[in-house]
Amino acid sequence: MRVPKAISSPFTFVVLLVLVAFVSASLGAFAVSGEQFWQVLTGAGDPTVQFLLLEIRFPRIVQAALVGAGLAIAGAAIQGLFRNPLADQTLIGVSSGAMLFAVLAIVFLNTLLAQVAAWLQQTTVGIAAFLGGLLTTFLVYRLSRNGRTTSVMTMLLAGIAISAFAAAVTGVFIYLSDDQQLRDITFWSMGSLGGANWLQVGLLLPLVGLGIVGLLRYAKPLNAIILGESEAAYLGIPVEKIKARIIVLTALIVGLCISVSGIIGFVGLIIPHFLRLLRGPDYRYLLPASALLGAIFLVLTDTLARTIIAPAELPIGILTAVIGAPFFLWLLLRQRQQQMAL
Amino acid sequence: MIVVKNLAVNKGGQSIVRGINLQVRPGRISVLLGKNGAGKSTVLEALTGKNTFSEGNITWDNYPLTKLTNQTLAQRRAVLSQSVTVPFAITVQQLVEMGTYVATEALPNQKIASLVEEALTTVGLSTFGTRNFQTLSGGEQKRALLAKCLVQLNCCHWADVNKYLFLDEPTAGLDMEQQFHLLALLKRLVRRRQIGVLAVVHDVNLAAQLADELILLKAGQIATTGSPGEVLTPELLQEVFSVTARVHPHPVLDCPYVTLLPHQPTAHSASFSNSTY
Repeated sequence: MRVPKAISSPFTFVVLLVLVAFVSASLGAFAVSGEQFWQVLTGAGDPTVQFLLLEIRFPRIVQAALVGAGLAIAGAAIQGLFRNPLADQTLIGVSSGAMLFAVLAIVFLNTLLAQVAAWLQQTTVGIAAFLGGLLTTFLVYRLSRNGRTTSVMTMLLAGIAISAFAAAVTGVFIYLSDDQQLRDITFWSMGSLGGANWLQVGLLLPLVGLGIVGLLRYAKPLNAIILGESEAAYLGIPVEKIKARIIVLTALIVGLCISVSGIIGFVGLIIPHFLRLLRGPDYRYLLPASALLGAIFLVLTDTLARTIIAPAELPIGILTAVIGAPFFLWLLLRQRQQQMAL
Repeated sequence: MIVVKNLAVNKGGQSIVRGINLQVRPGRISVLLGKNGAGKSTVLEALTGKNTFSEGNITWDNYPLTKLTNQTLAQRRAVLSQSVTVPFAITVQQLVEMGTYVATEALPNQKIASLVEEALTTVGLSTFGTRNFQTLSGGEQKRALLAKCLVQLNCCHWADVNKYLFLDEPTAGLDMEQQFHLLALLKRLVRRRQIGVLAVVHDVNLAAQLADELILLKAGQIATTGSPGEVLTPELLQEVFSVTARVHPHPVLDCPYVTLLPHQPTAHSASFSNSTY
């Protein structure tokens, strides 16, 4: 695909992200006019509109951007580490682990904490999901460790096995859950950014932000790993150390994202893939661009999720799959045509 | 100079090579020659620092290999692998540029560009910079990888540090013309830059043309070491490769030339005619 470099530059993405954020803030079950928007930004205007924008839509948009950026950059990094364009964070077990622990929290803790406020229940589920994600990733990583090296191939297989096991245990608890819990579980697994508030954003922003900045430092090593681990080592890259750090950073980022939004698929797969077709696989471009385009994509999708059947909301995970899957197929077919043309 | 003393490598409880003594000297090409499974690659990998070894010691310009970090090592030696598979569509330029990753400090873009261009010109790929590496022919890929090695060796300059190049089957998969050019290019580079080279080569005649020193390996041990003229004798070829051969002087170059003769397999040689199919 030939696209002028100016259009796909990270700078353009930043501008686009800001634009998309403002458009998103004005759209919704209650449309905000340009005039009202300006009034709120300058500190005046209708208190209802003020509350809507400042306390509901803005945190939600920031959260969508963070989650999108986190998932996309994590996907890019994992694809590089596994040297596989079809890999994503689910491979290291973080998603299935998060799912299992979220389900456990919903089924057990929420029964115990039934008297407690809804937000505390939600937080408990989030924290459980985060811990579950980290725990399974750690387990998968440990299983693939052999002396001082870690086999990416074993990790892939261990990831599949552990994920399958986690899914089975999840199934048991889904079976044991009552109707309300079942509904909670189902919606959690389809993802939502509906619970966003400034407290969450305040926790998420520095942590996911640090994770993203951390990953950005590994652009060159990831480039070298494209050639294979031994080639990267010949180029002086401490491959094992880098591998461990990238896995820790991705697990942190994805665990945090899942903990506030539930499972949102396809972002980590299609965003880096699309950018690679656009500009090639240089990680010095791919990592920052994935984060930015992921943010744009998720803010847009979330806007769609809350406007398409307003005042009700569609789970965002459904939308990312509905948009992502055909788009991914289109990319694949295009790529095949190009290869045949060569 | 790289000095290897009494090197032994065991893998999975089995001894792969043992009692290896050899030297790699700046400005000279040493070639490891031997049957499949004789331990050539194992020796090469131990010297590059890729694999650990069980016994003996390897010193790089008087530093023990085990004390050198991955990065220091990468600044002193490059490795041309037999083949590299790339899962993403990287350009030749991007591949060659990776040679600069060994630099400790950030290099200016202009310097990187000139290093890449110089290396691509040296290997005769100056117009290939924007091509997708995956779509190159085997020979072109090998030359692009060699260009990456050259950038790696050129990007850190120290007057007092020797540079080394390790080659794993550099001519495998190349046609006659490419083989010829690659050998000539390697010899030129070694003379001009005083690079020390250790190569694994399968073809006896190519090895004879390339090598200043041949190291003949047999079943994990060094059978003999010397100049191609000294080492390539019918007796040693019979002993190491189990073949009947005749050795002539090369009609043009100053090295021996080996022709194989049809022969009856001896009881010790595992040839296809002896096997059950």
